[in-house]
Amino acid sequence: MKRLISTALTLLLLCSLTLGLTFCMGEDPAEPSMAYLLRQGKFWLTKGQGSKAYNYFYEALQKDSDNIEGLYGIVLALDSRVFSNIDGTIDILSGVYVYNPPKYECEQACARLKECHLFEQVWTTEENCMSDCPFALQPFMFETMIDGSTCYTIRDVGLEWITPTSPENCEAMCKDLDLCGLIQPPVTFDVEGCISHCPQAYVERHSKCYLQHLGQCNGFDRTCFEHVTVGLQLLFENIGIKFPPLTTKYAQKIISMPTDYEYFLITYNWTLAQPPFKIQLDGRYDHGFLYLSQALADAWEGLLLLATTVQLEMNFPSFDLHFNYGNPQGAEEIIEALIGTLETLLYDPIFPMGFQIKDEPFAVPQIKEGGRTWGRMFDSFASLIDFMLADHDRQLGKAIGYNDDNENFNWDADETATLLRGSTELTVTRPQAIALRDLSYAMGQNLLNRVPFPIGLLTELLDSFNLGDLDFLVELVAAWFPDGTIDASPLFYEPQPNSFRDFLAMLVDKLYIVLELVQELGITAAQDN
Amino acid sequence: MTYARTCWSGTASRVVLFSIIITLAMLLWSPAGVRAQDRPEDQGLKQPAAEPENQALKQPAAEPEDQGQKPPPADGDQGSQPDAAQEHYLFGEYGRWVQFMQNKLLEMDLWGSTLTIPEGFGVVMFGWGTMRAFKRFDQNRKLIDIIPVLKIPDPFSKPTPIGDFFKFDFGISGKMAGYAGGVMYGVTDRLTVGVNTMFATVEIKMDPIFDPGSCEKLGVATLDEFLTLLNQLGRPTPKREYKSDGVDWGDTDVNATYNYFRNKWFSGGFTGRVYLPTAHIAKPDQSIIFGLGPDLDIGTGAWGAGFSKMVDFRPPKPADIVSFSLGGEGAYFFQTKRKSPHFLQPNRDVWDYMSAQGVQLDFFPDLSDMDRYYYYTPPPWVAASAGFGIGPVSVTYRHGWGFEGKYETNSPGFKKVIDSIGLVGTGDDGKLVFAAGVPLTPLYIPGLAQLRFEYQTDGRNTLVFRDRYQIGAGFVIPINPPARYRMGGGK
Repeated sequence: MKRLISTALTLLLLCSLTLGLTFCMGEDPAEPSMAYLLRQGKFWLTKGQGSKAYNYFYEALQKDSDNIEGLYGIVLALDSRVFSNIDGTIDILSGVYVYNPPKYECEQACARLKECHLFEQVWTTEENCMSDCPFALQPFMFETMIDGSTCYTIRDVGLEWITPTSPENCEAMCKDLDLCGLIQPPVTFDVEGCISHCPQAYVERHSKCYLQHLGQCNGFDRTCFEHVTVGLQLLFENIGIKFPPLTTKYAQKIISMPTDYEYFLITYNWTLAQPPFKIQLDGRYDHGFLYLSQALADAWEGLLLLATTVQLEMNFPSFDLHFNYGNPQGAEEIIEALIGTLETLLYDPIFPMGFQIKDEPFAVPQIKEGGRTWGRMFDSFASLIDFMLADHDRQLGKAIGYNDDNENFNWDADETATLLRGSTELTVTRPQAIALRDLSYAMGQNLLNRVPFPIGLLTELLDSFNLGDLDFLVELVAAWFPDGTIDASPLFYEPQPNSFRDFLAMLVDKLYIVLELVQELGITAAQDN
Repeated sequence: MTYARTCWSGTASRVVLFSIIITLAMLLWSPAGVRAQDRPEDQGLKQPAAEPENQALKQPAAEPEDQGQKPPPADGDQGSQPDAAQEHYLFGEYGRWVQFMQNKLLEMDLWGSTLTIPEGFGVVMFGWGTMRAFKRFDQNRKLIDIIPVLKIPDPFSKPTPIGDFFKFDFGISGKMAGYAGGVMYGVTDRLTVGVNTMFATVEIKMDPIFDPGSCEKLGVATLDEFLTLLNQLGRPTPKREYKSDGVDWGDTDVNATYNYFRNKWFSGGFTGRVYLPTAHIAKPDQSIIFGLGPDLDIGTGAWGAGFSKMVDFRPPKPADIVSFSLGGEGAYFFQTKRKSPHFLQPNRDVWDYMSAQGVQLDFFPDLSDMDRYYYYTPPPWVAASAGFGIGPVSVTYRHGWGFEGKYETNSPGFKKVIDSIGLVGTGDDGKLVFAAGVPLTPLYIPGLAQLRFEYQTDGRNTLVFRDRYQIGAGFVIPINPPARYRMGGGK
């Protein structure tokens, strides 16, 4: 018996040997169910995490490409992605994280600024100091004002990223740039223009660095000036530009399906962190919303198509120096800041030839495609309004719809539609909506088929909104188009190397006219409408 | 990872030694052995230790210099001879020889881990095993994923990052079939030389899971988009799959064990090893160490030297079925030259842009200027073990410490990347080893099958394997035994 057991055990072991060795590593992931993917996607959408949601819906659609819930989900996720991408782009263009100090730290900072006579450097006064705090400073900058640093340190270390270059330094710098051959009007400012624009073009951080190397002609030295927008452009080119077209692909698929299915989200917003901006779009989603999604995607895609064909290595930090984000500004200041910024971007000797079209074979066709994409954007927006005008469904709870006050399932003449809800609101009447639709269709046709449209479509729309003190703009715009038609298509269909530069230069000229009129009319308050 | 492989390599040679012990010890428990015990004429020969007075009488003058050490069995001991006239053996002469060998080995009172193979005999070993890479002990001895999920803190939520910029799970899975083999030969009764090696077939996949965070602000949401971003930062797209072409060769060592002292209660020995650089080294552009793919080094792949010292002791009868072992071992490896992976030229503009956004880019230094080769010194290691055995079953605790391997390259960022991935570095691990053997003599095969199970109890910066079973078989082959070990032999 003992021998029998031993033999059996031995045979068993020998059988085991034939199985060989298996070294397993990690676990094979379990296959997620469709319901799980859709649930997760929806969850992340409501959390404002469009990218996470996108991956779940994408996977769901890999299982079933016709799943209507997955299709709606992925469109909404793509919308969120577009907004996130816009947010990131604004981040790099407008600056970085601004410190959010408690009140007592602001009191300390203001006391210190007073002791050091530095109110001017942080764009404030003794009276406004508390309300202007934290002066658009990043944490490490703000810290110098409350950690016992000397006045010298506060001024030359803490505030060097926001302090405009002094006139003396500007003069030295611009003359050196001239000696180095970088001042070349009309492509750049002349020396005087450079000196006058310099305080709002370069912060002390830039100019101090440059002045340490006078005569070395290191205008392009990355250590002195921020060359970051080219990286952003490359990411647009390789990544950002590729996902907005997916919105149209999925939205069109839904629209072509014979279904009146409505998706629903309890929370869903389009948000920007800086400047704080939120559009509430929760509720029920139908085909109308899909037109809005397409318009958003086309707008962003068109912008990226254009942004990747032009020279974007330019002085975007000057945005910060021109615009005082801390205080609400009047129309005059805003226009002046806009002019100053545009001039700096166009004529900066450190970053010359901003917005010039790249000398690349892909550039011209891409610009044309950019124009056409914007044409589709206008078409989609017009389709949204058309859809709303013809929508006889219950409006309550729709993500976007008209305010059916009498609940007759019809957009009556006296009823409005709130196109934007949230931090910014835009409500239009039915006639305004129709005017908006007509203008959008006309612009779409202009950019898609090069059909000019009458200026009246624009002026009538402007007229329908109460512009208040800015009413003069309606006549002014009409005066700029003496033949009574607008044709924006040449900019995209017949681009020249300097088309965009010329267009922006023309815009600057027009802004000077507007500024003059604003000054003449004494319009100073910021206009809400 | 490197350390874990080193342990595997060390373990392979231990398997051989241990198997021999068990092989020989188990013969005592085999049915054939029992049968031999039952034979009155073998009793006295089998257990001379039970009758110390007899032993003293038996060979007091034969080897006086041994002073209490158990002498090798006398040449041509007639007591081992099966009685052909009285018994009929299956397989005729072969069966008789197996019976003879069994009896001969029983006579020798072979026990302990310091055992050597009798002169003129060879042992051929084959081993198989299973193990599953389960988790990994981190620096703080906490269990984490095998390859830590790469996380970069959110640069947008300041001052304290709330979430992640992204999370990247390498998603490694796969299997490896391994085959260990070895041969040993008894040069003398006290000196054994041998060679151990292993082969493996490997199939490993990398299915990364990309979890986007605030990187969506840069437009990056999917794995493909992330890989595009990696390219811009100078990292090639990782390979997704590695499958060995046939088998990949593992570590090989040539060893010699000398049993310098042995008596009934104590035995001491040491083993010297030379490691040969036979192991398959991961293709540099697919290596998991660099995060470029799932290819693994199957061994250290470098010249090295190892040394181990073992002592065994056991109580007197009747408790001599229990034995205790203590041991220490270590290995040192020499610098080896390896091909560098090819990294891409990072796009400085993208790098600057992301840097300006506050993204931590420590993991992405510029490695495009690496020389064609770099120099690697595998980590040296030491280990200590203690265990006991009861008959065919043994339990051992072994703790090993791995030191840091050295990378010499012209690129300072290279080491940083390797550290970030975290698969190499100093560490230690402890494990319990359970072993049991079954003789193959009932099948008239002069050998033994052994089953081992290892359980990793503790560790730092080391892989954790579970379901770690090993099955081995060892076969005794008479190559050139002296007359005293031959059937019918004599002086």
